Amino acid sequence: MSNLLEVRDLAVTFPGHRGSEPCAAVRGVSLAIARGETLGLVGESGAGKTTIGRAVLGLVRPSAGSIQFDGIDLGSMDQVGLQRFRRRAQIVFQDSMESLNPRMRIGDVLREVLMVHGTPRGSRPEEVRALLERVGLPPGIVELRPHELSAGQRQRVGIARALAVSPELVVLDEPVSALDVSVRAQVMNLLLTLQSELALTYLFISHDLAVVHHMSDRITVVHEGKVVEEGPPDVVLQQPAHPYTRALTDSALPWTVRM
Amino acid sequence: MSSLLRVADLTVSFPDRHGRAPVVQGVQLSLEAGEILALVGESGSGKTVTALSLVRLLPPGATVAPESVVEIGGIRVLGPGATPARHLRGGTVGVVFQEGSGALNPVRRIGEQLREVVVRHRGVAGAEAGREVVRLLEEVGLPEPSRVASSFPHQLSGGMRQRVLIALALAGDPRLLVADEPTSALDARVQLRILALIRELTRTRGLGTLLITHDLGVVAHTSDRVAVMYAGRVLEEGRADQLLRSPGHPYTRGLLAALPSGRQRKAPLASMPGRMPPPGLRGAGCVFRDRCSQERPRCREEPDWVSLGETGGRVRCWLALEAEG
Amino acid sequence: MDSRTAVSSDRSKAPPLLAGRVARWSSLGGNRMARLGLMGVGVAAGLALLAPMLAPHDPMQTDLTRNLLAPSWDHLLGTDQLGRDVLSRLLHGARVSLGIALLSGTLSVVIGVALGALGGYLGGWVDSVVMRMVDVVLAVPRLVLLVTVIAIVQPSVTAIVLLLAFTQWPAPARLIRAEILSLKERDFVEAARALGYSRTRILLRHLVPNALSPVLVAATLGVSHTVILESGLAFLGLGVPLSWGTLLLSGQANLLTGAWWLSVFPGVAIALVAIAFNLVGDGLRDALDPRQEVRL
Repeated sequence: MSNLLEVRDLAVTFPGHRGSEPCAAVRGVSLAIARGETLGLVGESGAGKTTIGRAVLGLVRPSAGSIQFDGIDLGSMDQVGLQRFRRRAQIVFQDSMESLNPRMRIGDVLREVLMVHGTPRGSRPEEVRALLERVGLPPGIVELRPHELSAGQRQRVGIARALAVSPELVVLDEPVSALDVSVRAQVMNLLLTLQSELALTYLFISHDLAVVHHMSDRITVVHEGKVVEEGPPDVVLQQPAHPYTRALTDSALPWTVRM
Repeated sequence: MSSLLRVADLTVSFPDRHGRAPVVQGVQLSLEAGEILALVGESGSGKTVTALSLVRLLPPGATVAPESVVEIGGIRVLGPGATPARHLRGGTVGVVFQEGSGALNPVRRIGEQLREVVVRHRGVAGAEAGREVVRLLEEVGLPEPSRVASSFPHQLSGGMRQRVLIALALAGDPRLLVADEPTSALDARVQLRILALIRELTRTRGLGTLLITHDLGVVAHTSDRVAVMYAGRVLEEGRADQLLRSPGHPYTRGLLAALPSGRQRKAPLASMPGRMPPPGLRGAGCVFRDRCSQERPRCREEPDWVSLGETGGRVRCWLALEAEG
Repeated sequence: MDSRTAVSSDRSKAPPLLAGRVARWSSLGGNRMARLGLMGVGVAAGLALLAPMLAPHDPMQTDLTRNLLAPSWDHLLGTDQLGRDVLSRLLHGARVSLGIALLSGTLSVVIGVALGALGGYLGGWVDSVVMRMVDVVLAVPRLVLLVTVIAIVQPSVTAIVLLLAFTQWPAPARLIRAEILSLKERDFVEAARALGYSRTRILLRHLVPNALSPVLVAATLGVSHTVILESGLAFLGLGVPLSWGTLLLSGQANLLTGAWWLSVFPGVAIALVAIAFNLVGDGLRDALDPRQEVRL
């Protein structure tokens, strides 16, 4: 089995602000994701989930460890290699309002990605239409700005933007946590459909055990910057071995986890 | 016996491009002492506006229709013949704000902020007020209450701050507690403890608690009764266990079905098509009919309440009437 | 308990009809004082632009037989000690005074935005250098610097514009730097990085447009300040001909002769323009302030 992503002993330390102690957000995390697989990353706020997601995309510089994408070490990539990597790995954020430039029309958001990545001007409108259709948005939405959209529509735009470069890996950072129940189900279904149609690999970050359980092939539990447990969803969440995982599953409310 | 809280025909409108649009329409609620009623709904359902109108904290521009009635402890605080209620907030009604919403002043000590409310509403002063502050902090389960009293908000954890906010709501010795998403900003483990505290306070103090939430897990875990709001209306209400086990309204059923069940991983979830109509675009008849899979011609008329058996549950849906025969 | 409105967790999902830029911009139109200010600025700018057509006389034409005439139908605002028409001088003077204020304002915003944005975005030594430059400029008392340098180089429009811009760029620089520092932590900037956008693109397309609002407010308020400052310099004898401050200066010399119109009209013009720009700036601040957004 070939791993698309391999993270070994990753550590990320943020410099302290004005004399305060540096903060070790991630402290020796190893994980691997096979092609076409979804790895669920679970933990409470401050556990280091988001930092791991950003480091995997090269947005945060690791202080130690290695990240290999399709066998290539992220740290050894030059500018050209990094730009090529950007087309293969993308991210979708939790807060769709925060993740879209408030001053840009949706059409411009998508056209910009295509332009930067070399789609000829003539074929951009067609591509934009295809992207919007792929995520279930009407073509007329290109004229609107983020605040004129519903939260669900905005999140679909965020997904379309990530898909515009035809990535293989998508880091989904709490992609449905800010959404209402009925919209959340729609977006989760969309993510599952996209994965099977486009053979996407997901790193799915969430604090919601029920959502992670539903979306993932394997689950990794992080606590204070370290992996405490890892395995198939049913095993990790139903027969947790680590006391921390047990504490998590014990405090999940019914209807948030119904297993 | 009259309820601790009675809300009838509550209609609240906000200005929009075309004039005024009702955001809450004809809401009826009742709540007894010692009971937790969850007001559950998605964004834009009107649950927060409903809660705010109980304590007259509506944003400027909001108008309450003249036929709306709110009675707390038998005293009419809103509607025809209402008594002007200057001491309503913090007195009869305590509001638990959400942690992180800015309800705590970051540059004042916890003790001072609590003391202010205690002095204003209890008419005590000096050392007496100080003792009361410590007692309140103790009541909400904060260890070392005097140390907490001399702390600033940023020196406490999120869970502790939420407890302080609860103490603040209790400081005026309220009979009704309104908690707006009190745990949405907290991690699961802390959330559980805060919910347990709210339940305990409701019992020991004989409060009526209105819990505003979008989380069905919180509803199931904490509340005695539930009212489900959608597009400004209450569509279903009943006992929490009953309603979540056998929901009567197609919307409630849709909500529950849209949750991952834990049985079929990666299978499509049952999702309701479309989205909630925004205020101003909620035509006549049932507000859910556009998204309902069982829409009938009759749904173009506004459905009335239909009781569901002896459990006290009721729904606003013509289908339920059909089922009854 | 304080009366602040409870903030629900879903504020970003408020129905679009209640939020949005449309509502915010229309609030500029809705603010009566701001509209008044806008009208004042518009009128002043119109008069300045059309001065050659509107002025009844040549502003430089002296006529010693008709000097120090009180306002009359022939000379609506009277004449000065050399018999020049005060109204015509005031209209042409608007071009000088407004021109200097707007030019120096624009220049200071351009310099300030460029340096502040670069410092905020790049951080490190670039930021340190920019901020030290800001400190240096702010450490020198502005009036002293202006008076000294202009006295040395001789007053000219170019010199005054450049000097005013030089003393004013730190304000926009600091404002935009602060905005950019907070904006660059936002997810849409992170998304742009993840998409491999160049730093130039991120800075010019995503950061600066979102950071400009407070700078524009400050710049508008700054114009009224500059009008007064420039008039003050001219009043000290360090102005260019026809500047409102210069007119005021010549009026002061004749105040004892009872020719009040030489001082009053330029003074009123300066005050009105300063007030108008202040009103516009305040209105703009209200209109652009995100906290003014109607929320549910």
